[in-house]
This record gives sequence, C-alpha cells and structure tokens, in this order.
Amino acid sequence: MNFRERASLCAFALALVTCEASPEVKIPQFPDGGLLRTGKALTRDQLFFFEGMFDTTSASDVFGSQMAVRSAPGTISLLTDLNAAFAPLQAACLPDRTVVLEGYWQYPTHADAGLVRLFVDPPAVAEALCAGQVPAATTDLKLIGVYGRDNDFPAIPFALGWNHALKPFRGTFFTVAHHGACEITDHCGTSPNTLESVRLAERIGSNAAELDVRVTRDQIPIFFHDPGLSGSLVRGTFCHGKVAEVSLAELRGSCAAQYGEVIPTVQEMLDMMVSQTELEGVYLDMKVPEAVLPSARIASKIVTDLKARNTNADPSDDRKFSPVVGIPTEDVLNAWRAAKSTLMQEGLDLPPCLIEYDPDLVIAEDCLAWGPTWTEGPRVADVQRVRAAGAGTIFWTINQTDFINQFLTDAQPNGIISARAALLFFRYQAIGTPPPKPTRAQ
Amino acid sequence: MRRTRKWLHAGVFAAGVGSALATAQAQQAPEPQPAPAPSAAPTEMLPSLEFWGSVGGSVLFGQQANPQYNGSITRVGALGEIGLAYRSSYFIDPHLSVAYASLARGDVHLPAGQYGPAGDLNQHLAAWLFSPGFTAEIWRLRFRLGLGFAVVKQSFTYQNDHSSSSAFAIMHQLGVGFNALDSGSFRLDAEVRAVVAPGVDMAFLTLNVVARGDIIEFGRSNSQVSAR
Repeated sequence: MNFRERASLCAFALALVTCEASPEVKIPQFPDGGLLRTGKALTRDQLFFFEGMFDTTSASDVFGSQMAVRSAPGTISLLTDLNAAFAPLQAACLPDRTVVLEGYWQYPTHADAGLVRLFVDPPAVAEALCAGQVPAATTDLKLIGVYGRDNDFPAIPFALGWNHALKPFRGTFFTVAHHGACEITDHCGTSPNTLESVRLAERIGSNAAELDVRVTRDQIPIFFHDPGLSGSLVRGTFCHGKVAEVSLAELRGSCAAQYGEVIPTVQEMLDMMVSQTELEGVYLDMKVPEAVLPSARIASKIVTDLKARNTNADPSDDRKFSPVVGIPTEDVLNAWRAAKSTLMQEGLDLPPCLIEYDPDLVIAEDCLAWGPTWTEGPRVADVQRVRAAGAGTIFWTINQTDFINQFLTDAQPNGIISARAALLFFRYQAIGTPPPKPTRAQ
Repeated sequence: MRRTRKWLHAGVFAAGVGSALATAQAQQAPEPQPAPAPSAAPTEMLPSLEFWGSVGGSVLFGQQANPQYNGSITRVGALGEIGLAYRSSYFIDPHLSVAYASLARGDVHLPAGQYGPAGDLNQHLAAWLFSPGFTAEIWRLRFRLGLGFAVVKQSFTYQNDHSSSSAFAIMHQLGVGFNALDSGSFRLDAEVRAVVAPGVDMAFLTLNVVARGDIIEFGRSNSQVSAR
C-alpha cells in the first residue's frame, strides 16, 4: 500500500466515524401569522367541500399537472406525485368575505419548501362559506393565488381548478404512514414515532400509521424504532444505552426525540390519535415480544371504549379506529397467543391482529390483515386468498412511484405503508381501484 | 452546541488526516544516514517505553433533553488516565491509554405520569475510554491522536430506585500538550484534548496535567538516559 492509499484509508476511516445526521430544518411561516390571523377558520364540514382532484393550471413545473386535495381536521392538503410534494394549508374567511388558504409546501426528500397563499373562486362560493354554509359541489371551483420559495413572501402564480371527485378512501384504502410523516433523513421537522409526526402524517395524506413498539425496563410500552438510544435518533446528555435498560421516568427525564419531541408511550399516542385526529387505525409493530401484552391491554381498552361509543344512542360520538397488533416474527406470534389467552381470561376485548410473514397464519389466527414486505412482489394469488378469507392486505414499505403503481394495479391491496403519503395518496387516486373491505369482525 | 460539536468533529478529522499523512511520510522517508558517534549521550534518540498518568478537568457539550422540567445540569467533570507509549527513534510514537471520566451530573423534577408519582430524577454520566493512537513531539509540543472506543455509563436515581446502563461507541480524540518540565527520563505536560464519540452523540474537552516517565529503555544501559 503506497502513501496515497494509506492516507486515503485513514481519512476514510475517520470520515466514517465523523458523520452526523443534521436535523436542522426550516418550515416556512408567514410573518405575523399571515391573513389567517385576521380571518375566521372554516368548520370541519366546510373543509370536506374542497376534496377532489384538481388540475394545476399554473406552477405545474413545481407541483405537477394534477394535485389531489383532501381534508383533515383544520387542514386542507394539496398532494402530488411530483417529488412527493405536499402543502398542508389552513382555511379562513376574511373580513372582506373572501376565503384564503395559507400554509407551506415542501418536497420531503429535498430542502425545497416555501409559502402558499390561495383564494377561493368564484366569489359566490367564498360568500357561501363565509355565511357558514357548505356550498354544493361545483365544477367551477378554483384556487387561485401564489407560492414562494423558502421564507420569501409568495409571489409566483399558482392556480388549481377542480376536475373530479376523489375515489373512496376513508375506511377503504389505507395510506399508512411509515413510523410517522417522513423518514429520518427527510426535512419534515418531526421525528419518527412521535405525536407531532403522526399529526403531520394525517395532514399530508395518511389515514393510518405504522409505529414501532418497545418496552422500557418497567414494562411500559413506548414508541421507538431502534433497540438502542442512538445519538442519531435522540438528544439528551444522559440519553444512552438500550431502551430496555431505562425506565420510563429515566427516559422521560433524560431523552427527547431528534427534534426535541417527547418519546411517547403507547397510551399517550393512542389517546391522541383517537381524540385529536381522524386517523382510522394504527399498526403497532411489535419490535420485541415483551411489548405485546402491555400494548394489547391498552389496545383492548380502546376497542372496548370505542365499541361503547359506537353502539350508544348518540351518533355524534361515533369513532372508527382500529389499534392493530402487528406480528413480524414467530417470537412475537407466540407472545400474541399468550396475550390473547390472558386477555380472554380477564374478560377483555381482543384487538385485531396483523401478521407480516405468512398469509396462512393470518387465516388460521383469525387476524384482520396480512402485512407482506414489498420485496417479494405483489403476490397477487396470496392477496386474493387472504381476501377470500375475509382479511385484508397492507404491503410495507413502498416509497417509489414505479413500485407503488405496480402494487396498486396488480395486487389492489387494502393499503400500503409508505413514508411518502402524498405520493401514495395521489397515485391511489390516479390509478388505484378501491378494494373490498375486510369482512372479518374484530 | 451541535455546531460546536461539528467543529470538534472537523478539527479531529483534519488533525487525523494530517497525522495520517505525516505517519505515511515518515514511513516513506529514506532511512536516516548513520549519524556520527555522539559526543554526549543525552542528545541521542533512543527508543523507550514510557508510562504516563494524567488528571484534569472536563467540559461536556450537549443538549438538555427536556428543558420544560426545569432541571439543573453540571457539565464540568474530571478525567483520570494512564497510558503506555513506545517512544520510537522517529517522531511518531504509538500509544495505548485507558481513561475514566466523570462527565456530568443533573437533576430534573418529573411531574406525575405513567411512571408513578412526581419526584426528582438524579442523573450521572461517566465514560471509560480505551484508545490506541499516536503521539508526535515537535519542539516542546506533544500532539496526540487516538482512535478507540468508549463505554458510556449513565446512572439514575428516582424514588430511591438506583439503576445504570451503558453504551458502546467508537471514539476519537485529539490533544496537544505543552512540555513544561523535562528532566531526562521524567516529563510534565499541560494538555488540551477533544474527545468525540459520534455514535452516542458525546463530545467533551479536557485540560490535563500529564506526568510521563521512561520505565524501560531499549539499546542502552540504564545509566545512559536519553532525551529528545
């Protein structure tokens, strides 16, 4: 080995141990809260009015030729497949009886982001919204305004025109957020497996979430992906070692997620999802067998509470939400069987289950769904066999457009786990077929 | 703080590359011509095995996890170290060192939660450092580069329950010492050192007093003490 090779090798070895993930990210914001500050927010029912597929009549080079528009609590989301772009916007009626949509746009895998300000057209629709009405659907609906880059005040023309209604997706096709809104290397400003990330996931197109469950030393289930408290995932002077070696009190007092968020317990997350979002389910990916029983107890209580809400005389408190126990390995399956037995002895409801690795076990264990990896292809025959038995199929984890297209068209699954919710939602709306709902009662 | 750690990373990295280049150049350099017979023994460079011990203070960088709990944290700690170096005929000396550092202490007040009633959580962070590396003496300066591993140990006390856990990480360190005293086989340095363990997001600086002495000399009798 000569001098240059030796020097290069040393430099490379040192560079390897010098790498550090940078969580620095800037989400653009209007100074002083923008026009929203002066307006009255639209109601949840009014936000449904905006849902549909829209043609991008200007700024198609940035947002693609079409965008899907869907709503979530307090949010109107513009979603597209061009760079998986999304724009979570808020809507308000202004004192001059116009309706403004404001927020930011972002490419999650790039540093590109900027501000968006759109106005509702025609004026009669805005007038109806300001009068507190939900206007009748109209093909004349347009969203006309501007977008910008970074924190620059938006000045570039941006306009959308309504084209057609969305395909059914609520309770039909699950855009499952992969441990939250984005990957750890993205620039969304939230950390995986946190309350903030799950809230953002709903605002950018997801209607369910896949989250990773571990247990602390005192057997409290929490959401965290890795077995160790890696410096790239957490912050905190006293935050080292393995998750299983620290108690929840130690974790809470010593560790925060990448962007400073609290590392949540399963109880905190499920309570938040049920009470503050319209997400329809969570796939509790059990990373260790020890997590199954304590998590299943919490899920069981959610199932029981929701059953009571959904069967009482008051339809206003109905809430569809499934906390699904995800089973990725034989060890976890054995823990699930033991947990089922314990829950039944205690007279508790069983939460639904999902098995990742064997479609026959899904049928034998009476699980709600099968969760195969995408790497083995669409497996159309297995999807149909599981479907014939009344269960559904959720593939994990697909982020590329070509593969999303292939799986949507070949397998027509009940959902896909993806870290690109905007992309997946848009592609489902563009080429997907609404799948039959699983008939298994759990 | 993160930016400070990045500068530390960059500094250690740059020094590492420089040291690697110097090492390679030194190894490529032609063998020195035999020098004329020395007129006095103390000017001759003879290999020796050097033992050193150092003590000093440390300052830890980093972020407090949850400032909302109004915690207090002390980032000033102490470090003790022993090491062995082979003082070669060239100016690059391989070494092996073991150090223990008590790096930080903290207290946070936790509200009641799923973990139980409200209470104070006491925290302590320490690390064992095992580091082979090189030193190079130029004039009265002694540069040092180490690449090894750290065992980071954290201890907690909460509601009278004491626990500890540890993590393993690759570590590198860079130091520069000033030789304040050289009495032939005994030397005394003041040293500043940066220690970085990226895998556990840990970085700290130390200011040490280093006492070094030759315990074995090679190629000469004990009466013929060498000094560089």
